[in-house]
Amino acid sequence: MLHQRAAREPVDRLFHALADPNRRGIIERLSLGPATVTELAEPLPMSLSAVVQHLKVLQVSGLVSSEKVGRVRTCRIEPAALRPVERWIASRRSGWESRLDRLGEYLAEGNDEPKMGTP
Amino acid sequence: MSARAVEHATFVVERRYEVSPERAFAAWADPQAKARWFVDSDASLELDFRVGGRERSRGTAPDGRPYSYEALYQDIVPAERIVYTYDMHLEETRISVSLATVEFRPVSANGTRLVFTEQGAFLDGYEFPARRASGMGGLLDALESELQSEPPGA
Repeated sequence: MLHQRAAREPVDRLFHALADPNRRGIIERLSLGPATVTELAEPLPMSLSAVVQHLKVLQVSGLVSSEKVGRVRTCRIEPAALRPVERWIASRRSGWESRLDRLGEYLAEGNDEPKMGTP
Repeated sequence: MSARAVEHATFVVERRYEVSPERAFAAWADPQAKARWFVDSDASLELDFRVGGRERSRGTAPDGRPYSYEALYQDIVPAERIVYTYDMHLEETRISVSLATVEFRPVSANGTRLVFTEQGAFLDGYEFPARRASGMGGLLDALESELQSEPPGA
């Protein structure tokens, strides 16, 4: 039980970080490239300090890292937080889901009976 | 990504079809039928459907890199079960080796519950190109589909 609990904690933080639409917006913005805190705040209807709070949650989850140079803090996405292998496996699974949906469409067409003489 | 790594994972995908297990099975067994749904339209498929027989497919990933698939059939029980092993290459790099089990279970009068189970060794953390191309949006989609998918082995 203890082992399970320990293993779940980073996932809990990740899901908490992703549960908020503003934080997802920040992630989508950062997926285009690094940005300063001010740049991130600009399009959002909230105060700079609220953006900083959201960034803290994102940093605790490991999804976002930041670096301060002089007075400017620049944020970047850390895709490794959602481990590449997990992504890969999820995409393999979704590949199978769409493939089996195609099989369903094919079977529903009803022309899957063996045809003689077709090349 | 050049670091050596092996990640083991199992996933299950289930579907219900309103056809008999015999017809659902035939869509896997007949090369022409299988080519209709199994591969992308630009990909090739060769299928020698018998125990010890091989299946090969080649295509182009969304980022333009060639991929190849090769399977070896291990166990075939008509209208009931197919077990095969397969590997995937992206360009010249082997990115996964898997054991796949397809079960065809009759449901109601004329239906089939298909249970696809893949147990894989995923090598060196290679990403599937589709996800890389679609970036974070695709990642969130994948997460959503993960959350919506049924837990395996109910």
